[in-house]
Amino acid sequence: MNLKNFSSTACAALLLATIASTASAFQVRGGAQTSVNSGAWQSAHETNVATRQANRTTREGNRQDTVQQVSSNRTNAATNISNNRMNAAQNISDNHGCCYNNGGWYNDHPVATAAAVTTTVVATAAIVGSIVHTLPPSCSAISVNGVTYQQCGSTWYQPQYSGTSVQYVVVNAPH
Amino acid sequence: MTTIFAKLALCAAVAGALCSMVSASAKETATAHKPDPAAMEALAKMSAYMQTVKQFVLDVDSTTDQIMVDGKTAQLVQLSHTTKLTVNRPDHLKADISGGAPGSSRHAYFDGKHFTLYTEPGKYYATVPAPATIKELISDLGDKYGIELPLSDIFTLGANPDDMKRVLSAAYLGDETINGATCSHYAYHEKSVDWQLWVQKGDKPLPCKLNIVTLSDKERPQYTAIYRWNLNPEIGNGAFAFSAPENAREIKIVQVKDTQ
Repeated sequence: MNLKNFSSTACAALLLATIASTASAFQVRGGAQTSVNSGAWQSAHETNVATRQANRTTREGNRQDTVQQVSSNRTNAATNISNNRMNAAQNISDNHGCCYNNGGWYNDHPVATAAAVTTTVVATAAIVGSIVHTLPPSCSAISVNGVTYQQCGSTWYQPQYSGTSVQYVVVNAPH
Repeated sequence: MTTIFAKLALCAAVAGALCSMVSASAKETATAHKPDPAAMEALAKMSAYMQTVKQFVLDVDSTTDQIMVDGKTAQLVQLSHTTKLTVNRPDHLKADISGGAPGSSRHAYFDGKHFTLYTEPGKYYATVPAPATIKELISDLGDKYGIELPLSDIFTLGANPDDMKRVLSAAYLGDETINGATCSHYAYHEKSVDWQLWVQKGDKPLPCKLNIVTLSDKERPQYTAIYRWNLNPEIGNGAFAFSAPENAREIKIVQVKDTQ
């Protein structure tokens, strides 16, 4: 590998790592219905499954894996991922709060997860009231007056279930 | 468009009687598959039998398609899960679901008074008041929290006449061997789902397998579950009680109405 290739690869890897820390490579638009009779109930709770971009079920701890997977891709991937990221930002507004797919038990694929923000774009995730599906690294769980928080640097998150998936609401520091 | 004009031209050219014969036969084909009464009855029979099974442990291997979007392309990817459902009717249930990344699992506990959701990683849990029966729990969880009871088909398939009315066609396709049991294979079509059910032959008509194709998305993602039944389980006294593991943290479940 010559120097030029190396530097562009390294650059892409760096870029990918940076992006991957805020949004993973793939988006999921939804999935199979997992019970026959949820259909009637489902249609009452959501419309337009086909065009709605998926909610992002999230699990902690797969970010590192994602970075490694993504880093092993090459420069081309950077463009794709940037596109995905833009798509994710555009689709964020379609994913308010609780929705049907969060209520499922079988929709938790590591590749399919993404750090999504429901109310703001990724770069300003720390605004109080915004919701993220994965925490930044180095957080500690703290209980204050019986309420569970995650403190990540100066930002405090309150975890909650949306359906069966954990999400984190940015909150003011508890007193 | 050209094809349509060609067909119209052909129609005009051929005798009118012939044309109406063609359209009549097309209509006949479109309405030919009325639900087979025997296939509908199999559902009711299975449901009636399952309600007599008060205690059971059900192990399920399932695959669930997700629609992965990468730029402009969409691709189905398949997730695998195992579920252990422990039930003591009418008011005790536990579901343990694992799959996806190692160490990832979701658990549901219901004891006739409370419903608890516990998930790993993260060791979070939430407990909410619950109605008195599994049947009521199914609608309560859906209405309040947008949560579907895992494997709810075990309790709902064939049990509700209103659900049966959505079936547009139903057919018996023959028998198949699944996990060593002979099971009758049925296919059902509804507006938004196609589903297939395999029901064990003989005096214990339990579901052997279920497949659901979601029609509301053009990628048509599928869910398939294979059931292994234990009708004589040893269920311990504390099986349905949730006790928080060490370092587990209690959080809340967002109510559906709060967010809409």
